[in-house]
Amino acid sequence: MIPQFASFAEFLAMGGYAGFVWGAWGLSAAVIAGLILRARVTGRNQKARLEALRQEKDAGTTS
Amino acid sequence: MISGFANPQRFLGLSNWLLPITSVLAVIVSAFGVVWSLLYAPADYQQGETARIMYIHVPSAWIAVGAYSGMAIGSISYLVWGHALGDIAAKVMAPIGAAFTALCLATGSIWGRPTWGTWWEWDGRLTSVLVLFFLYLGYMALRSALDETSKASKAAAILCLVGTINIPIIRFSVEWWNTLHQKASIIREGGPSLDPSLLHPLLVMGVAYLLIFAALTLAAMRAEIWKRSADALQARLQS
Repeated sequence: MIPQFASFAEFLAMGGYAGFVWGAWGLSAAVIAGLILRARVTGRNQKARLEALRQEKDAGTTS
Repeated sequence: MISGFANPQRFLGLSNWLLPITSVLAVIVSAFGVVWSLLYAPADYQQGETARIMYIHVPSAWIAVGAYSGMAIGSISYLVWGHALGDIAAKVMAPIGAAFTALCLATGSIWGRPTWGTWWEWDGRLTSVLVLFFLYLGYMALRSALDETSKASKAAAILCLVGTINIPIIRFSVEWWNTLHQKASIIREGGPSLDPSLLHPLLVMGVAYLLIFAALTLAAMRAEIWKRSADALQARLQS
């Protein structure tokens, strides 16, 4: 397989449709990155919350 | 394996190694697919470089429909067998599926402008996918309006199942209302009509999107299990 573009500038220009091609790809990358970030933050928060509550419970039963 | 998906505690153990594997595979396949479709796949002989939007538009459409189908399976397993994990899966897939449906509509609109000369048309395929997007929003609105009870889960599951009528409508919309969107070119009688030089990178991107979706779903299910355990514990501590 060979690259379809002769230069980097040509690659960026996307045959004159740079706004459409890069717009669609950029939007998709941004949304997927947002989904990954959201998954990580929610997971970390809920796990920390559960662990804090478990400690609170253990402290309550020992005192 | 299947029973591991029915028990939340066993699911946490199973997904503990399944999630990193899926994530690593998603990164590798995505990198491969992105380079192939942007750099090495030939430009379409009619559409030129704008056809490179296909490599993200079509996979997002597959996930949009696939996520809803996954929600329907989760809802059935919850309604029929009372599997809590089915309810959890359906719940967490909704916002992810909605995001991919939005991407499908947006990338399709961006592709339509140079190709069809319009951002939007009330074509059968476009309209039925827009309905799918609203079904996701309705499902999420219903869940957030009701307190987290088995009644709320049941109501959401029934709404999800009623909405599955839209899935075959999306599939056959291009046959029934042949107005603007092209007909099926991959899963069709006589095999794919797409040239292999375009089909292969598209399939790689499809696998990449599926792996990304799987990783996002596993991560969100784990978070939801922790959330429900924390909610239950909090209620117990406060009483």
